[in-house]
Amino acid sequence: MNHNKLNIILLLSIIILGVILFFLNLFLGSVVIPFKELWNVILYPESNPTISTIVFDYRLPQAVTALLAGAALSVSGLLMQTLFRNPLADPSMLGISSGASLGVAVTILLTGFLGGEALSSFGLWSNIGVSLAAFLGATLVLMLILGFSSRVRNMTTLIIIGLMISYLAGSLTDIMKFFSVKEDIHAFVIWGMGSFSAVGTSKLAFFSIAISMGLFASLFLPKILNILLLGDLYAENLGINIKRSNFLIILISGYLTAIVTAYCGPIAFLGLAIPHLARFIFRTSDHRILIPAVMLIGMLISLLCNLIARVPGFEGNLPINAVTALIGAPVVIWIILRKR
Amino acid sequence: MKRFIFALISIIYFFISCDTSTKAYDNDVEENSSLNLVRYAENFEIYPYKSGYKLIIKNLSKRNDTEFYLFNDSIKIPSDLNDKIIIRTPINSAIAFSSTQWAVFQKLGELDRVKGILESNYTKNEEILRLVSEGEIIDVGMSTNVNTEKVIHLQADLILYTPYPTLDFSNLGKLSGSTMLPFPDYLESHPLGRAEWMKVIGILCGKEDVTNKWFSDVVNRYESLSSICTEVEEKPTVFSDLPFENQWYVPGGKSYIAKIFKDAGADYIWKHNESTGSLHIDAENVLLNAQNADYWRVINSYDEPFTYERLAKENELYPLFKAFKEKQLLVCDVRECGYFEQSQYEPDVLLADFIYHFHPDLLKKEWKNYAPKYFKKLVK
Repeated sequence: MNHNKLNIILLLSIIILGVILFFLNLFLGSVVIPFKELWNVILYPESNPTISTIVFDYRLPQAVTALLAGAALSVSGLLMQTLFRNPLADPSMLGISSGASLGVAVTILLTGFLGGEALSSFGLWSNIGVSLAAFLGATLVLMLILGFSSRVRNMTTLIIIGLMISYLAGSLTDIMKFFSVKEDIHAFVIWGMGSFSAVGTSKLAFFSIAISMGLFASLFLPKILNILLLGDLYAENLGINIKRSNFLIILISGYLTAIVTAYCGPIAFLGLAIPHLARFIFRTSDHRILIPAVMLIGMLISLLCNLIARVPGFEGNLPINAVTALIGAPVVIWIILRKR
Repeated sequence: MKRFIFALISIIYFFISCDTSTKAYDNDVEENSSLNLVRYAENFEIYPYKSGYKLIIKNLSKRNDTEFYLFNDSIKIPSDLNDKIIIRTPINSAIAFSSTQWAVFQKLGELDRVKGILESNYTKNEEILRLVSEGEIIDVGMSTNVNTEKVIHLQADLILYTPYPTLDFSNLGKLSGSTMLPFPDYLESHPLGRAEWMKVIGILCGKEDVTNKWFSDVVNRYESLSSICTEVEEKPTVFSDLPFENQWYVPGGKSYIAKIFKDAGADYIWKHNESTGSLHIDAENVLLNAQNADYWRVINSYDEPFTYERLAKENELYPLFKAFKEKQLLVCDVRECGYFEQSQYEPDVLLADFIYHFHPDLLKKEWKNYAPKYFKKLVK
């Protein structure tokens, strides 16, 4: 009872912190908006159309994207860590992000050479779109992994297959990079650094629905995940269909990763670090608590990263990937040391 | 289960593909090409339209062009143009993504119309740096990472951008409400075609008479210079550029630089290549083809002193080239001469530079005491 109370207090404080960070995300950016002005615009959006555009059409969708992407990647990471019983597992492990990168490389870099021109005048880019290419690449790999998952029983084998697919996709990407011109490589590198600003108002509705569906589905998993922690044999004795539950976990985790990567680029680290942070804060491995906990902590940290990436004073936005690891890595080291 | 997944994925595909809608522009109006005010450039056309201009910018995909109608502030806009993109000239404020754009504003003395630029740290132009430090011009980031908030905040009439197939600026236009004008000057393969883009900025500033005059002077000088080289029999061979991370990117045989080499009476090593962009050639092939070339054109953007000694340390292949051994490197120090912003509007000067090196005895009359502006022979 006491423990439950503590958990509720913790969850509530995370939510409150999250709300504060969310407002800070609307408040702070490279254009300085005085608090009074912001408040005015929130109450009367018509009073200053320019500021209102910056706040509602640029900062707001970015904050919502950060929130959802953070939750999605963290849940995805938790699922992977439990499924593989490996504390180093993360959403990129099965090669899904590498698949997305390959898809993007094909659109950005390959369109560059069809026709033998270095920087060609093909408009394929604008017609197909990065998100679609990334999603195609990611689902292709996800399908492959799901196919393998129903054949192999041993999860270590699946990890190795995932890593190999990752290397394969990576090397194809490198070959394309090698033959591409500077501008195209730069565009690709920038995509690879991740950003929460690419979603924008027009795609936000779809992004939100797609992510929420995946997050909602994950809320049905705690029971299976808790049993899986006991080991495959126990789980089978308790009447769990191992192959089917593995399939389901990989599907949900891969789906969330694919959607986030398609829109925000391959965002590293959150998926690995947040589950550790959640286990440390809540001191439990019960997924009934862990799943909502990683969602909320993921949102919180992701909003914090987005804020740091946009601190006034930097020209342009810092890449999200640089920020996630920058603040994430010390946190993980600290936790590991505290645990001992 | 499987059917459900496939259904789900197809729904997602549907939604994602809906995001990337493409706009089609009506292209029904047949243009009378004799009225086109553009002579050399292939990626834009200007037609007189009622008492203003119709500007057509060719799309990168070559399928849908973008039309703009430009009218002076004092003129009433014709009623049949309701759904068209209209630009009032002279424009009050613009954001110029490329230095080749603000360079013309500067040349026209109209820099006060430029409110934002990109990558100000790459230029050595003193006036620009001063205006940026005084806050008159705002640096809005890099072309691959534009600071959207600052662009929205500037509320410029117009955003001049360089369209690359890999960069999508459509969202920027939607958010800022500014008119997005693509400026694909880099696609022109004729040196005079590149220079002709000054006409677009001229109209935007209401100074088309000035840019028209400048351009026709450039054409006259360029043509008279290239005509003196048509008869030369001894053509020196020339190649271009240093490798980047050991990858050699050289101008294609139909590129802007290849054309200037040809007009300056030289034989470009890759002149038979058909590309207008750049070629990726491995070091072996560069050695094979260019080892005995007479001249080597190099663009230097480093701050450190540029000498043969330093180059030899940088890459042990360099001393194997004849042009290196005989000290025939033609070097442009971009920091010193503003190569990237200005040279494209002075193809006549570039041409004179190369003729000066390739055939010094052919420069006569007003060119007699010519001193190269961009490309100078590296002596030490």
